[in-house]
Amino acid sequence: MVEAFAVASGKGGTGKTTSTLALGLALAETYDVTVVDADTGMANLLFHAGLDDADVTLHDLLLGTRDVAVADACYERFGLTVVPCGTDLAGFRDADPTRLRDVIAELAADTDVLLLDSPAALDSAASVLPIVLADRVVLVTQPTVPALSDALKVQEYAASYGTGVAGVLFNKVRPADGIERITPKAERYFEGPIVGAVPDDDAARAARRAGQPLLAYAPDSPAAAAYYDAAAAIDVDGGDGEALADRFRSAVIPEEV
Amino acid sequence: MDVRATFGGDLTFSRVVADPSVALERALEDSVTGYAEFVPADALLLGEGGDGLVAFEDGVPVRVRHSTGPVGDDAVTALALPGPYHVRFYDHTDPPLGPDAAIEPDALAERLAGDPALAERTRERAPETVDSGPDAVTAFLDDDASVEAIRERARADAEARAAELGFDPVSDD
Repeated sequence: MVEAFAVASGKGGTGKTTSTLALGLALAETYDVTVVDADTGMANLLFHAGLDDADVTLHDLLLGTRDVAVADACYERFGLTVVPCGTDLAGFRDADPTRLRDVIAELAADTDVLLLDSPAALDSAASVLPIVLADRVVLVTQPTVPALSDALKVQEYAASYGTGVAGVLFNKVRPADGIERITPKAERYFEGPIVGAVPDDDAARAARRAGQPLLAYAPDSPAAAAYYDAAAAIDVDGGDGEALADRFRSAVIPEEV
Repeated sequence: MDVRATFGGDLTFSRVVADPSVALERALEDSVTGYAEFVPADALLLGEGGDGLVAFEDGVPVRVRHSTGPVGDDAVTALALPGPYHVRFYDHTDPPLGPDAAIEPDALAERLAGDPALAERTRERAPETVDSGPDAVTAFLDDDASVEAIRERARADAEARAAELGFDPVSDD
């Protein structure tokens, strides 16, 4: 079985990368999980996962200039397989994002859950591609009008490309946000359930500085507990790995990006 | 100037960026509270022209000082040069500089980076906006017509851009 989720937000600053790794660690207690930094222009998963010095990254696979295999960009960390992306400008400029399809296809053959940390934008083929390739999106948002608007936009983009919504996760929620009033109203507009509300928690920032995923750094923090609950609320609907790999291989994607 | 010796704090980011929006985006993404040095190429390579100190709160640039003297908007003007910049971020719970150095939240995104989308996201993040708070959010969510309009526009955008992006849209039927 395998299901690919794009973790997306439509805007920066919602804690998408923190959320991707947190959901990954929580799901890894049940599933074989692979996390991919598909935010190739603004890669930062490597900093969150202590992989700053990773030799081979997704950029190398998308550039195709080094004699490296997909497995060379896979790092076993915190009970997950992590595929980081490099941060150098040349790597981003020259990378061929369409190769992401082939990388995902290969990874899909050997995992239960694929989480794609997706770009916080919808302004290019490269930024939309993870949403196109995924089975469903997990929308990370905040209880503000702009963040909810952007999450709704991502949902509509996803729907336009046949990608469903696995769940909506409120992040960085403060007591004054009145999340209990907002949740039932927001739920009406989303095609998937609201799977949780993660409190704004200094532990998340400390984990980022420590180069560790929140659930490894502060597993007993309130935010970590909320992520565990959210992961449990995501109904993983695994299909056949080979079928998914075939679908990726046949996905219609642009020749030029 | 050795800002770290002056203000303290932990170095969290150090990179030469061709486009300052990369650094500003990172600050926003990581909700940086602290300060950053922006060292333009001339200062970096020739030791000329001076550099900038920018205070951030929750990812939003709030105050700027240029090493040649200007503060606030004038400092932004002095700092707005063709890239690259060497940018260093330092975490700090009490970011430096006084109210005389205050800038609009989007000033750097607009004038240093020339990135209107980033400017908009930065404005959205800035505190005390009319869009924050539970009353504003519930009012928005109670306005079915507005929410539907956002969804319809996004659907139309996605479908219109399908050909441009090279993806196959899926019909609702």
